[in-house]
Amino acid sequence: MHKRSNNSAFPFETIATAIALSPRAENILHESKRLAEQFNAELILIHVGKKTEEKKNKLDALLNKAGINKEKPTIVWKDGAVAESILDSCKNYKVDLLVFGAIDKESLYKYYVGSVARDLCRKAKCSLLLITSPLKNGQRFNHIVVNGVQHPKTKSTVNTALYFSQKTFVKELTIVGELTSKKAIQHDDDNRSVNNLNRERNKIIQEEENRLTALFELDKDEMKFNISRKYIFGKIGHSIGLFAQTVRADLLVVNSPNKKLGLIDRLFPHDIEYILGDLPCNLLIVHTRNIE
Amino acid sequence: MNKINLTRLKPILENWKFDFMAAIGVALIALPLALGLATASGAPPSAGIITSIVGGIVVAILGGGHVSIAGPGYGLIVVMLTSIISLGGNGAHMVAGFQYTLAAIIVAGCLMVLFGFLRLGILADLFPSSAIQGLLAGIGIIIIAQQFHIMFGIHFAKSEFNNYDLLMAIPNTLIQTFSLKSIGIEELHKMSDVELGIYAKELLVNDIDKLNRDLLIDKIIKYQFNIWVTIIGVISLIIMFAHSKIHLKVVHILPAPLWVVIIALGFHYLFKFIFGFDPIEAQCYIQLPDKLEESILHPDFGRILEKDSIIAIFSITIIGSLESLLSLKAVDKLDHFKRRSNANKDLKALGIASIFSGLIGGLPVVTVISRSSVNVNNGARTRASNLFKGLLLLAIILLCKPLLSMISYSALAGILVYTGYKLCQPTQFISIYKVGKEQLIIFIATFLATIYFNLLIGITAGIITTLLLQVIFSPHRRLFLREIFLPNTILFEESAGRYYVSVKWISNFLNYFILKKKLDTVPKKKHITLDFSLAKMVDTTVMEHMFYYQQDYEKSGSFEVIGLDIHQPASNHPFAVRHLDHSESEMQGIDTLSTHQKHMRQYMRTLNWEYHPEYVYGIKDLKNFPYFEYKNIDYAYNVCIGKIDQGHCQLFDIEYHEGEFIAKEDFKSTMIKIDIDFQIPNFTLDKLSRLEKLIHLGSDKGIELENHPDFSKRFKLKGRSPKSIRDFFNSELVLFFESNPYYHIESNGKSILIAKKEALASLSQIKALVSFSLRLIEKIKP
Repeated sequence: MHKRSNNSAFPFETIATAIALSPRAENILHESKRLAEQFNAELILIHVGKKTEEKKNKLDALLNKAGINKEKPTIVWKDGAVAESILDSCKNYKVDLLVFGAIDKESLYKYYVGSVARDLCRKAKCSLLLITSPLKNGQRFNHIVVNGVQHPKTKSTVNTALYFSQKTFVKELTIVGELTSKKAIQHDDDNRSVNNLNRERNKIIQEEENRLTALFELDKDEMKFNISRKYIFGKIGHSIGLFAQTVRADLLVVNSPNKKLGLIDRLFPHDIEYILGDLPCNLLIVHTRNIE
Repeated sequence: MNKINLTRLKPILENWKFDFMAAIGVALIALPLALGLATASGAPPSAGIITSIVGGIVVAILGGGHVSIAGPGYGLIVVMLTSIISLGGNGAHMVAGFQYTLAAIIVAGCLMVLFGFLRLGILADLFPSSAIQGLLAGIGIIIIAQQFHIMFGIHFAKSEFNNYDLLMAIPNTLIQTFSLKSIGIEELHKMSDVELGIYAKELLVNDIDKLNRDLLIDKIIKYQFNIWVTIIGVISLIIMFAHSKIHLKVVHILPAPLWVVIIALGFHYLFKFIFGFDPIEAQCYIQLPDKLEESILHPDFGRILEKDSIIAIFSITIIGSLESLLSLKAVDKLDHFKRRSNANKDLKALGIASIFSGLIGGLPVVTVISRSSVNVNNGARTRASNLFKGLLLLAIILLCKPLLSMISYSALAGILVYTGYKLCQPTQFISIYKVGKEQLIIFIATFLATIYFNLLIGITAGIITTLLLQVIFSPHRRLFLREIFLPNTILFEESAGRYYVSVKWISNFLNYFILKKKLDTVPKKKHITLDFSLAKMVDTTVMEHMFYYQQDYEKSGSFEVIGLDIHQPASNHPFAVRHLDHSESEMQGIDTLSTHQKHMRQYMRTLNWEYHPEYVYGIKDLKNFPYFEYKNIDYAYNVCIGKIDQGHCQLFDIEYHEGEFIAKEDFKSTMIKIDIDFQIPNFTLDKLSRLEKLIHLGSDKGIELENHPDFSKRFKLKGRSPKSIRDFFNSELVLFFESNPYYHIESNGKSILIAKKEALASLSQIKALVSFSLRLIEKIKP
């Protein structure tokens, strides 16, 4: 249906999962299996550590429990630093989507992204799906929230989200335009200023609306879900996380972080730090090739 | 450019008559207040008038408010007095001290302008509300401590007594007064040194040894009470207290402070008439310089860099801005047109006005609530009334100066003591306690620190106490300080005209301004849903502000707070702190039912009505009754809901108020509201008081029913369409009203509001009210 163009992040043809041999790993496997089926993708399992007989048996047992045919997925055993090893494997096997679980730490923030995962998010050359609480039956993504920030990567992110929604039978997709305009935030609180401010905001929102509509590459008829647009004035990166949590979204889709502080980054400061610090829900970081 | 000016001038030109009439009332009340505030500040009386004139003119031209009045303020009395005494040096040369203080006022004015440019209009929202109330109560007590003695003609040397000493000297003053011990100057001269020393000690003269005989006698005379002065002072105080309690129309023609002035002048002439001379010494009267130019003092920048000056500058800036911003917000709530003021613009204007005022010997200019609420109540519509007030005061001081110098200080002290009492009345402590024990701790900490130290330390103590208590009581102590400074609020348009606001983590006084900024971008005609479900804690300050937002939006939009059901409130008051916590129970303090409430519940069971003892944010649609048009509803409780054949009944205890701050009058009442499913005409039925029967003072008698002269003698019936009301009040209904006890009854077409009086009803009264209401519905149903 979609031919991968040079810079497109989808379709997801190869899905990889990083697994530790923990009790949580079983549910992660369930999730990955389901995703691989939905996207009709090849599944790769990556384990960092020495391959021993004992571990192999454990893994086989896990695969068994998750109902995965142990001959089918490619299992990669790699020894070394965790993040680097996973990233290397992803590169070697041309992985499109890497799936892993967030650490559930009740007493601190609800979900916390550990240092390894943070490294992955920053350095990965493929898209990433962080699952906050992996389930046996797999997640049901009903409501997806996508960032619509003004950035060259956004077009690809939005279209990846549309593709993702189609494949996973999403019901509702919301594109959030995060806007920062000094003019539209600073104001006095009397009637006249409020009216001026709202006029200013409506103007900006109108422009945004045109910009976001132009991003869609998919045919309207192909989309079997509702698409809405929301505009938030505030800190970029922060507002979208809080928005996703407020509307009880199941998945948040954002641009991949910038690696080098180039001219573009200076113009469009965007950081996923807020979101990683306190995960609002499952998170899909879309890695767009060739835009760096 | 011209066009803009015209559109801005248009409302002023159209409404100048309303504004001028309101300004007359304001000027008359501002005059005694200006004199009193200036003398209480330790400045010459004329300084108050200068401030009021400059404030009126400059702020009217440059200000950002609509119906607010600018002039000398209560909060600054304490700051000014401290500054004048400390800068006056050891001998406490009040004039020199005042001139140094004028320099501080000018610098503070510059700082206020700077605050305006830095958009620090949100400053007032950064302080916890209980701390602000503690601060105001502290100011109230200090004003009482300072002025109480003057009411009895005792003029303590200001530099020798601090606030605490003055407060402690109140019993002494009362003992002196009640023992009526006052020794004339001739007798004092006859007394021996030892006797004089003992008497002086009784009068709290504390540097007896340092004074020679003549100076000591001089001081004794200043420190002992004077019966004539006391008469004027105490009567003034009584007038201030009684004015709002007396429901005579004649009394309310003039505001209370003006009555005080008139009666003070009356006594002056009465004493002259009786004795042939005035028994009150000249020093007990307001001293105005013979020539107006002489009253203009010039600032002295000689000590501007000294510690005392710098403390004065910061105190004036912070307390002045705080008082102005709080007043401005309160005035916006009173404004009949529901306009929002531009706080930043107003700060700039007040700063500029203070600079001018300081240059010609006036006090700092602030927005003042009591005069503003008089302004609103007298029907002011634009800023022009502030200007007219300034000009009228200028005219008064030019024309009636001799009359002014016959007002005694004790009369002014009566006004000030009353104001002080309004700021710190005991009911405030109770109402704070109702919100939560921890709020009372904050209130008292601020209150005490304000009295013992000064206002700046007071408010700082309040902030620190609030923060400590919030951290201690927080179930998430470790994260508290980290979360507080995270950006925590988003606002988005859910659908056209409907906005959704979500707040996460902690919402308290420190980060309230983030929420406020977001909320204020939404026009009042829209609908807002505020979601606190992601917040771990919402403090009293935020709860209180949200409550007032709800009222603001009530008229044409809506403002709904959701997501607080899962939070644990500290008390059952609507402003109580709320924590999201399921494990700890230290904050639990919800009262069980009182005896009255248990009886109520039982009675409601027999009626088969629902009973809800808890506080609710108000009862729907009450604002549509004429009675509540200019009143603000605080909350209702003991709400009973019942169904009758023709509609729904709601019985409730309700608390509401008129005016704000010092001008605030609180009411409580038990009312019943019946929504009926048939139409009746709009009307108000009231008892015609005996006095109104005797003299029809300016008020119409209402709609007369020709066939029922007896009914028209007893009741006052009002409404917009006399014909349909006359049809509606048939003989049967008239007989019903005549043969039953009197109730205040209002109809807005679809519902009826019935209440006995402005007080809570006992169970038996409630039974009578319910029975009356049900029989009335039976009578009027089609």
